Amino acid sequence: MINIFDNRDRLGNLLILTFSLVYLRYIFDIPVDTSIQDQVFTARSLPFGLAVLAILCSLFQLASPSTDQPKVSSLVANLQWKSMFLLTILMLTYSLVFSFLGFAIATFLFLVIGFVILGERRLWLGALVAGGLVLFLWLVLTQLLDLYLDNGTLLSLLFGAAS
Amino acid sequence: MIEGILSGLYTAFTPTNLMMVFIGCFAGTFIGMLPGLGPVSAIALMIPITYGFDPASGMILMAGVYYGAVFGGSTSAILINAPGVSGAVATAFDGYPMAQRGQAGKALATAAYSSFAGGTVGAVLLLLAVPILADVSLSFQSSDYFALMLFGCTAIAAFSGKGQVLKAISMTLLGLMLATVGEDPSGMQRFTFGVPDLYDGISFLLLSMATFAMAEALLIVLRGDSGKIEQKSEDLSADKLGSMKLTKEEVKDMAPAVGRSSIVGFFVGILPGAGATIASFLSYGMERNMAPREKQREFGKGSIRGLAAPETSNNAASTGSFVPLLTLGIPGSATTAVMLGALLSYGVQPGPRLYIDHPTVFWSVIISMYVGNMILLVLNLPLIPYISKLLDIPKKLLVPIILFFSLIGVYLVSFNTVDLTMMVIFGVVAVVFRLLDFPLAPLLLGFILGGMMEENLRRALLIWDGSWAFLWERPITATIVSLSLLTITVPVISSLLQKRRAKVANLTPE
Repeated sequence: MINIFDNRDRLGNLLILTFSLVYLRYIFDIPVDTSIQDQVFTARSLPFGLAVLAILCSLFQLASPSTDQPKVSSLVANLQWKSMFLLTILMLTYSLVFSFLGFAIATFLFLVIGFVILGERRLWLGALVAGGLVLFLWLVLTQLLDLYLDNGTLLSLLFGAAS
Repeated sequence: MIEGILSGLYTAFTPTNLMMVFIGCFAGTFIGMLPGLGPVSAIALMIPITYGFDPASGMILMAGVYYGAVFGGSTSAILINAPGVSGAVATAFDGYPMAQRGQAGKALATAAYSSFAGGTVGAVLLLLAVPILADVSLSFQSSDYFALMLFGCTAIAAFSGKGQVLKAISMTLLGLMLATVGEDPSGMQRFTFGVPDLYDGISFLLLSMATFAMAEALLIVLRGDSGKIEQKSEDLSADKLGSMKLTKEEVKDMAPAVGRSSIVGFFVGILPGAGATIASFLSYGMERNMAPREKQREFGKGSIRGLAAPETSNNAASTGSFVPLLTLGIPGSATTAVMLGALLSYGVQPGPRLYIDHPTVFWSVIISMYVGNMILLVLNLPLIPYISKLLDIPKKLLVPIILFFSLIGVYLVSFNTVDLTMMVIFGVVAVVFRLLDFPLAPLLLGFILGGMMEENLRRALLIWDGSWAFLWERPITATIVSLSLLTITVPVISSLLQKRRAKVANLTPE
């Protein structure tokens, strides 16, 4: 029996099929304007057509003969999952603490930790690159392009307390 | 038309816009040179910066970035055999062997001159073709537009490569499904789950940044190849590139190839979904077949003709891909799909009315493409030894910076940190699909065309009183729909037959 999770095409199609089925389920939650009688095209029409097509397409590919290709298990075996996982967590944390820490502090920490995750052991170099980039961008964005950058709740609290 | 060209010339040659082309070409070359980051990522990274600009300046900057990134991709293909973009893969076939035998400077010069020639011919053909096509498409109705968008989706799937057709169709459908999130044209909320941040739908910038720039950076981390580039580029000092001068014989040898490849490239580029990669391989193959036997043997070992053909072709195709964008409002490639998104965000609707409603944007973009080619030639070529130093930056420093630019780029447009969280999720999903060898360009194209497709279909059904007869009763619509069906069925059937043959071959005992 073919291990469905060890074939790239089948696994990908299975993911698309799952998404399409969930998508199809939520189509029935879309409100329809009942005031217009015999409406040919509603807010549900296109999503329904797309879901049906996507389901048929993935089922067809799942049922069709598979070609020889590298197995998923061999493809993912030598990848640096730990670094990617840590970077993903770092990015999610960055998005969550951005408003609290503000652009400058959040970005500086993001970059320094990112460098360390990828193996940069010279902290002074990481701090120098991160600090320089933050300062340069802050100047360009706020002074040159006149864009607003969030200073963060933390700085407001600190300066608020100081004043 | 003359008035439009003059106004475009005037706009393109203002000091600000000349600076935009200059910065665009320069930044594009830098980004395009980094393996993994191509024109799509380069343009996506530029969008947030251009939001405050007027549409003409923004588009001029992006066109410059596009050319720069294509050229940058060729540079890394020649110097370290790592094509920054898929369109530069064929460039590496003969460019890298030339560099290995100490002719890196000559190979870079050949690439630059060929790109310039391809871009020039492309720009002239664009200048001639666009107004004619735009005039024709003025007679198009909603049903024709719906059919054209259908064609755009099927074409990108059809040209997506061997064994990828069905997967590309699935990805296009996925993109179309994502495009339905948010408020529909009749004001109904779809798939928003009561989250206010989803009411306006998923931002195209978020999706393009996540699927290209962020996913590419994460893939570099996953593959753990952060040390390789530094090792390879150790000996790329300016004095080791060799002479950049071409001999008369070499120019004579490559000239016919450049002429043919310019035309082939431009017309392949016009086809939605075909783009620079197919154009470059097609021209490379064509030149190899046309070359005399003794020259044929040089292909793959450092043939100047083998380098000039794909380089000319991919630049001409990049120009050609602007034809469907500017005349029909349909992107022909992932890069022009991102540009379409940028134009829409400026409040400019690309299509046949673009050169009537916004002649300055229309003509200045076309003219700045030519200016961009000139800048690439006179500025980038002498600077290549210095620009190539970029390849010395360790990826352990570069990757977090790319990730940061992707995140901050999206934040600077929406000022919403929820977008950043969504982007990370899309980025990780994109990495999974990339690992499973599912193409992401069709997803982006489907996403961008989705909204317009639904609107035109809705309007066509209203005009035709709820009947689908427009699909076969209106000649233009029927022709385009038939073309779409043909475009999609032929590769699907041939792909299925190939799979079947492969299975039969595997089962047959020797």
